[in-house]
Amino acid sequence: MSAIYILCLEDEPEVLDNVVRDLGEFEDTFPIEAAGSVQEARKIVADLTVRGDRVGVILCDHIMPGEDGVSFLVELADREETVATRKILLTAQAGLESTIEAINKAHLHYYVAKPWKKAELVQIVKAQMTEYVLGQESDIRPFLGVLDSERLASAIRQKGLLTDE
Amino acid sequence: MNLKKTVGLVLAVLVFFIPLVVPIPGLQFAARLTMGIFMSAAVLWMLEPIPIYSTSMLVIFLEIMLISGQGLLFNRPMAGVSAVPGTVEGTWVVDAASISDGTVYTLEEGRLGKAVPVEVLEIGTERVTFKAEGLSEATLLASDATDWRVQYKPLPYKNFFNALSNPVVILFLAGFLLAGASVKFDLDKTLTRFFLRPFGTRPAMIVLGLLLATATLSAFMSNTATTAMMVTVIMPIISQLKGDDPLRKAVALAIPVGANIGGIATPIGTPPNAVVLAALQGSGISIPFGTWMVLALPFALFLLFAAWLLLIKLFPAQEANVTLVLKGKVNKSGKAVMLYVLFGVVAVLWMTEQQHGLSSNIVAMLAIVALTVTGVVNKEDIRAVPWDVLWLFSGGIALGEAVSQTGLAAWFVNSINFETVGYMGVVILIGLVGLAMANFLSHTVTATLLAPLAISLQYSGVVNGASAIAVLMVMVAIGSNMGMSLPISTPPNAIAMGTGTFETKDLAKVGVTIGLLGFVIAVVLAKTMWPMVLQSL
Amino acid sequence: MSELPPVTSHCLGTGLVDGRSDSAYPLPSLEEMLRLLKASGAADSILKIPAGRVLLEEGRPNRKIHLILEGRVRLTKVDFGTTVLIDELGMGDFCGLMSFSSGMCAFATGTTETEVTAAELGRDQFDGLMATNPTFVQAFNPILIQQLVARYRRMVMLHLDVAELSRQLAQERLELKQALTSLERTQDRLIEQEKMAILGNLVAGVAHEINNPTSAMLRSAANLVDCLKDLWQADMGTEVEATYFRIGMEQGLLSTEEQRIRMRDLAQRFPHLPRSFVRDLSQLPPVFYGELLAEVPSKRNTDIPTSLQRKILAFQTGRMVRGLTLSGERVENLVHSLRNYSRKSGGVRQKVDIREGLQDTVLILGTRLRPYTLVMDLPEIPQVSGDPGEINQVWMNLIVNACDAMGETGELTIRCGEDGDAWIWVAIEDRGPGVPQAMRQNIFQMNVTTKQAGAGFGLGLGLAISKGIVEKHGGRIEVADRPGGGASFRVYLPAGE
Repeated sequence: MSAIYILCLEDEPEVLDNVVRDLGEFEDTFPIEAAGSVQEARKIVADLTVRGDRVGVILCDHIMPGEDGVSFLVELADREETVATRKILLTAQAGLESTIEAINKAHLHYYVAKPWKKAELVQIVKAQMTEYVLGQESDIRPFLGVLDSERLASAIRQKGLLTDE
Repeated sequence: MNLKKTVGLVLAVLVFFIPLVVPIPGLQFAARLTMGIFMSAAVLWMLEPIPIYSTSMLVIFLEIMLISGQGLLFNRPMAGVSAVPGTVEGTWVVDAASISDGTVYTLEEGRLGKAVPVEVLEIGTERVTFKAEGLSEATLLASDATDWRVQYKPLPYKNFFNALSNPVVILFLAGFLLAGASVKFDLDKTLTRFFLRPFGTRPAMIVLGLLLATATLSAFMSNTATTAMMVTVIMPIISQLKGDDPLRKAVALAIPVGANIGGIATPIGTPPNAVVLAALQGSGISIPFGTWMVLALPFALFLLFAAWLLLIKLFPAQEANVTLVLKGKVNKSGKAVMLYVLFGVVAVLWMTEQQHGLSSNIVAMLAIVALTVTGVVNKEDIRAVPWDVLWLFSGGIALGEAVSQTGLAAWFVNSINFETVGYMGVVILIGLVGLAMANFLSHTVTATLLAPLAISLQYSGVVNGASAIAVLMVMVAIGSNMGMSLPISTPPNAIAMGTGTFETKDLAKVGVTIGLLGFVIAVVLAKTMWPMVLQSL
Repeated sequence: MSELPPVTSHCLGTGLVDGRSDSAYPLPSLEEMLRLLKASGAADSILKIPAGRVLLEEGRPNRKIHLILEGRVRLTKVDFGTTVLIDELGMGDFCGLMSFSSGMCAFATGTTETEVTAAELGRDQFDGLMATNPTFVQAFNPILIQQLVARYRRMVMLHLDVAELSRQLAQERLELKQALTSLERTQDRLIEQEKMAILGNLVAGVAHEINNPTSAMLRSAANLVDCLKDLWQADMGTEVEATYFRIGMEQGLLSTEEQRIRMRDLAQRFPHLPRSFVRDLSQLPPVFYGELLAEVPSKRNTDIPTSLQRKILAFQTGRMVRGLTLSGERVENLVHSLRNYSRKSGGVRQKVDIREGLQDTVLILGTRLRPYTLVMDLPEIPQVSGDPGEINQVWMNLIVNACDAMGETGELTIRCGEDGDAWIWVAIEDRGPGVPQAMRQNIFQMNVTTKQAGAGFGLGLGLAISKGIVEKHGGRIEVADRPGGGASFRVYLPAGE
């Protein structure tokens, strides 16, 4: 079965470590990959696409040496294999122009300002991943205990995702 | 392709051949094939290397291919003997090489007729020439009782195809359309609000209210959809309560328990009921909608009450008062009102089947027509019907048909001495087996596997009369629905567990207790009340 | 009342117009006029009029004409509420001549300033004289014409005066405007400097405040290390965990690439372990794998043994403490740099370490510089004498300018060196568009900026202020092109005392 990944992109190693650590509860269902630069992230996405896996959620900083986060998000939005990926900007600074570009061209799904609270970040990732799964997966049973159960229940009721058997 | 799937497929194939290879006395060829199909299907349904609805379709397909009159094995008209031209009377040729020296039998209407001594003259590659007395042109011959043509008149393939449009399937289709329309127009939420309001704010009453509301809704809608909807209703309650308040568990567990129990209350409440009803109808026994409810409602009410006591005892609330915020508006649009009206009319017509004489299957067709003509149900809603569930029990219906018609049922009944166990013994046994299986397998699969075996017991000495077999089959239905101790037992359990409010051990405690309680209550009712209700059958 | 010098161009007494006699219309003299009046029997028209009497009222019809023999009469007009002096009439002047002759309403108000002796002729008298006395007529007409001419010339002169005054006014207005702009610029600069001063104070205050909790935090972290070590070593069974704790403290964060490789290897060897556990395991140095992996369960869904969990937890505790300490030190350094940056000498010259100042400035700018590749080449240079806070402002200004010039990304170079014995230089170089030759003089002036409105230093004052600071310290600031593109700003400062 194709795996769904969470990708974290942040150039400061300490911060990246904190993000990965905060999202630990998802790792056993949604493996987490960490990247320190856009280049590295690009390679990770290419590798897992070849294996047939997908990126469900990406958390991305904006200001980084070399290529910046928003341009990468726009790039991902333009590619077929990552157009459905839920995109979250996790940043201390992103000016208005970059944010507008992220919303309009990259179809940004959420903006989290640093510093963040762990509980909030977990909620946001949970909600975003729930949307991804509802849009992409036909069998949602493996996710019932891990993702937003209320949202899943509501979708089950409305779309008949699960039936008596 | 992982290991489990490969093992499942290989096992299914192997198991299919066992009855064909192992000599089984008294079982003719078509019945062996059916046994192979049954065992193979059982493996496929239990290990799920392919989806369960897919297995159902495979069952129908194999039956058509292997045991129908248009299938591979039985589609050649059996050739009778023909005279050899230019020889003296008494010399015959026949195509099949199934006869040898000694005695053969004439084959009349699928049964062995008179014995005929033959003297084989010549065995060709295609034909055998022999001498025999008293035969006429086109007489069919069989070597002995084990000849694969004995005791089996090949069923037309239509019979197996018909499993897909069996009246019970139409009944359930109507139920699915009504349920889907209820979700579309938020009737389920409206009814929930209506039901829960009088229950106040005391925790114990709220648990009772949830049990009753969920059970009532799941009697007419799928248990899964009801559970999904109720989960969204209880989330606000749960977030009010402190993390260690046992009331959270009581509230969350009330939903799947209520859903599973409620499903039994009406024929359309849950797919295992369909398998049971179709099996009974196949034997000419028809339980009217209302009668089923008379049987099942007391059971459901007793069990719900017991479940309530269990939940509030096991998980006493810390909070003294819980506010139930029930938001929402009643949908008053034209189509919604039409739905309310139709739902009411259809429900009444179903429940009064005995009074007006119109079978519930026919009322179902009326419901379908009314819903689509008034536009309450549109194309999208039709496409959204869970056709896989309909196919799932179609497979069960087809399997039951084959088991009874090929004589497998009769053989099964004759092979095991049920006298020693007695009628109630059989009832208890079937109930327990069903209960055990349903905890680990899909409820519908449990019913599908047990129903053909159970219905065949009508030919045994222990089960006498329509009412007796009906009671037994109702027990099958109940056993199949009472498996609810694990998250994998049934989707409502998995959905409720997804809320993260209770652990598997809580579910197991509650599920096992209620399952056994239900079984006991059913046995008691089977001995006392049910036979009286079903006397008229 | 606005004063105008009276134009005494129509003095009857001298019989001249503008000092010249107009031969076409010879004016009678005053004596002649008086004689004529007396001869005409109008002697009784000579009156003594007290001061302050209104002889003529603006806007009203006038039926009398006055020939002034002694005294002065003021002619005034009301203009926008103010009374304006138009003329002063004296001996030999006629008052009310125009309005009397034309029949139109009086143009001005005539008021006696002093006691006036005048011949007052009413309408009838005058008409009578004009009708019966040809000598009178002959005498009177030139007067009338002369008055007209004189008034006309006067009007022309006045127009010329007005034009001249307007020009002067415009000129003065222009000068005032320029002065105002200049003042505004100075005010802005002062505000800017004041802001910087306030900010400096604020920063110094905050830095001071942050210092205490930061020190406390670091001290607690150090104590934590000791406590934890003691905790683990207190029990024989847990002594080994102290080692893992120490390893955790010493090991920095793995690169994501390295961690990925280790995780992949571990996952291949132990495919049944949950990924989160594999991640935890992968962070430990492989040297320990031998001893740790012996305890790893070999079957799926088996619990991880407590002793293994504890070792991993000890390691993670070490990492957390390390993170805590490092972050605390980072705050400490930042605060230190901030204080250096905003240090004020208060007028007293101090020894300034240029390299430290540059590094402090870079540190403070922090994430602002992250998009750019920073190249710093700072050999040892002698110290400079001056105000460290101000000099740091110069570096801040130049570095930020370089970043703004480069946009999203680029290479920023900061170098320093000695120029002979007397000078040190600092160069801040970018790979932006560079400064065109034509602009090189101007950019150090106020109000010259290529930045958009609203940008931080976009008032165009930054370089001007920087230049001011540099020159105050006895140095100079230059800009040049770089080979390969970009601008290079060089600051020269006197080395040593």
